[in-house]
Amino acid sequence: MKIVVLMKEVPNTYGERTLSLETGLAERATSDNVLDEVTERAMEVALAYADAHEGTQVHALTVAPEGATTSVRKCLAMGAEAATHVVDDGLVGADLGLTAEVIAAALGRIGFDLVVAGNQSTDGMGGVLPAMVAELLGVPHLTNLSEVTIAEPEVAGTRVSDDADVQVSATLPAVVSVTDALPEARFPNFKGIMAAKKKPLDVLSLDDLGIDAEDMTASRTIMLAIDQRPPRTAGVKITDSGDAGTQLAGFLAENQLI
Amino acid sequence: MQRDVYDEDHEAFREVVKEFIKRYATPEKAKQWDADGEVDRDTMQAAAEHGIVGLSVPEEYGGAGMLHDFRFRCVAIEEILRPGHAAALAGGVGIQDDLAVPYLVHFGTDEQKQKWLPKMATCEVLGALAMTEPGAGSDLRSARTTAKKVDGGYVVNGSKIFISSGKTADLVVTFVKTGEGNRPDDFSLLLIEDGMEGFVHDKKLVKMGSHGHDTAELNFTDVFVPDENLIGGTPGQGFVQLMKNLPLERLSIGAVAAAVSEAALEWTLEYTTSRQAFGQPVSAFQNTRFRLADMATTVDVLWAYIDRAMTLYGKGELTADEAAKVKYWCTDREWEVLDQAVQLHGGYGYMMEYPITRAFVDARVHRIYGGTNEVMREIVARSLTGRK
Ligand SMILES: Cc1cc2nc3c(=O)[nH]c(=O)nc-3n(C[C@H](O)[C@H](O)[C@H](O)COP(=O)(O)OP(=O)(O)OC[C@H]3O[C@@H](n4cnc5c(N)ncnc54)[C@H](O)[C@@H]3O)c2cc1C
Repeated sequence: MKIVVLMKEVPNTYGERTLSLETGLAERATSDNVLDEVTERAMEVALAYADAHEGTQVHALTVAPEGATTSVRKCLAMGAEAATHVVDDGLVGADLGLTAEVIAAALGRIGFDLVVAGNQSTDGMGGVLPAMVAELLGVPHLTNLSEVTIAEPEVAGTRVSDDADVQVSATLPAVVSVTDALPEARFPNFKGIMAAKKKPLDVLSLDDLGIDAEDMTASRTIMLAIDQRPPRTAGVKITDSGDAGTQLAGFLAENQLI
Repeated sequence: MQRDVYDEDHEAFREVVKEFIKRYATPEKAKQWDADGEVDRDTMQAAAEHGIVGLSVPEEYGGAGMLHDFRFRCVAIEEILRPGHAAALAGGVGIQDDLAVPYLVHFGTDEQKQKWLPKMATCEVLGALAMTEPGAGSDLRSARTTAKKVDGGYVVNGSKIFISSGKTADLVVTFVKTGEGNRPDDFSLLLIEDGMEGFVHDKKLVKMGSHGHDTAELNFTDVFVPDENLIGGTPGQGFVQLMKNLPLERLSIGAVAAAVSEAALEWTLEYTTSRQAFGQPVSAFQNTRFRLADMATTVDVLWAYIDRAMTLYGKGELTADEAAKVKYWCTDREWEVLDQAVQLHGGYGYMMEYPITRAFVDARVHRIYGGTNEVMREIVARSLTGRK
């Protein structure tokens, strides 16, 4: 059984997080960059399974700038056997579609029975990447799981939505994404750090994966302009002297909200 | 000032220690340590699982094999002490890795290593080092705890005092008199085990600070200790063995002093920039600014000195008198920094709920134990002029 975990490095939610007004990208240089906590929980799902099932291979996969090596090493120190880091200048500002293509191509190279991801990242908050990857790979996907059971040849879990908790299952190979309802991940220890140094860390470029980031035939989301959010102006205060309803309706109509 | 002794492994380890403190050594737990007067064993064992203690145990016995490289130890010291509530843990860890384990690694017979080190790596066995006696502190040669040779072992009588981790310890490296006089070769180190008949070590001493780390009195009444527990297997080596590990013990205290000074500077910066007086933050007064500048410079120099000492220690070149300089100089500076830091906290600096207050009382002993700072100066002077 080979489990690949999609790991993402993000600016620490508890620290400074800013967007550059020039590039529209997160300022990585000024933020404290860490593994997204939900992806660590995804890693825990894989590692916990591997602890209980000898012969399980856990592989970490990340698409991230060069500086993310510390985070990649942390995945290895936590217990992943190997890691793949896709780095390419052509991926700066990549949208979800391109990122999904890259991840799917990398997964094709690595091979997998199960892919585990976080449900959505704390920076981009797209939430659709795992489904896109599954689509590209032509395998089933179970997303937003608050509980996961891996039992070859199947993976199952509870999918949470606003209206209901749904029990879902799929035949492997499959892609799953998990929520932060899953247990807090383990953290590395001294031996893990030392062992990580001897583990394989594969660095791949777009060329290696045969992907053209500039392919104009694909539909892409790109950033055209970015502006500082205007400062908040004082709102309108309606005091009720019998005609508040009319005033409210007037305000909404004026702003073309009704 | 940027330090340059650490590489990415040390920085990765720093994150491990920080995360460990966050999850396992919470302020609530530290309150419990204070109430119990000792760090609970579960926390020590969890620390061992994460490689935060057991660093000095060789790899073949389950440790990290870092006895000759103090840098990981120093990172552990820094990060355990930084938040201010977990100092007791730093104490327990330090005794195990710097005061107990090294005697087995350096001088233990193969059997002794096999028997004890794997368990010390996991903290199933906690160690302590007992030299000081009611009548013999600085003047160690007047120690009177005797170990009389009998068939198959030794019979120990006497007492030890002020022994760090003395109550929780399962294995005490004990400085005993195996000869008749007080020449260096009249002394030996014996491994005395918890549970040996006649060995009582449950008397915890009430101290000024370090309330969460046990310091105990040990009593020995006709304790039979088998030959196999004589460290190294040959009697008369006790003094030489102690001398060999002194640089590490002193470096360790110096590193604690630097780490506490750095933490104190951080707490004081935070406090003085938020505390208001006369319509401005306390940090806006020139006196405060100059004191903070002095503290920051002192911290830089402390690390420069510790880092140099660590490098020499790593090469096996840190001499006993150099380590004595480090110990007294760093702890003297620490005391100045802490005194200043308390002053800048005003009345809050006298309240035990503030980390600076605890650090202040905890630090008072740094100039006393590990050899008093007077004795350290004496050692340094002797290296300069001989005994004249
Ligand atoms: C909290 C705590 C933990 C400790 N942990 C341990 C431990 O784990 N293991 C252990 O073995 N011991 C431990 N000790 C003991 C400690 O190392 C001794 O207290 C210390 O060495 C001083 O010995 P003393 O208390 O007998 O003081 P004394 O030796 O009686 O000294 C009294 C004063 O006289 C001064 N003095 C003595 N000789 C000279 C001299 N030649 N020149 C100038 N001045 C001198 C001293 O500097 C001191 O100021 C601990 C002590 C404390 C308080």
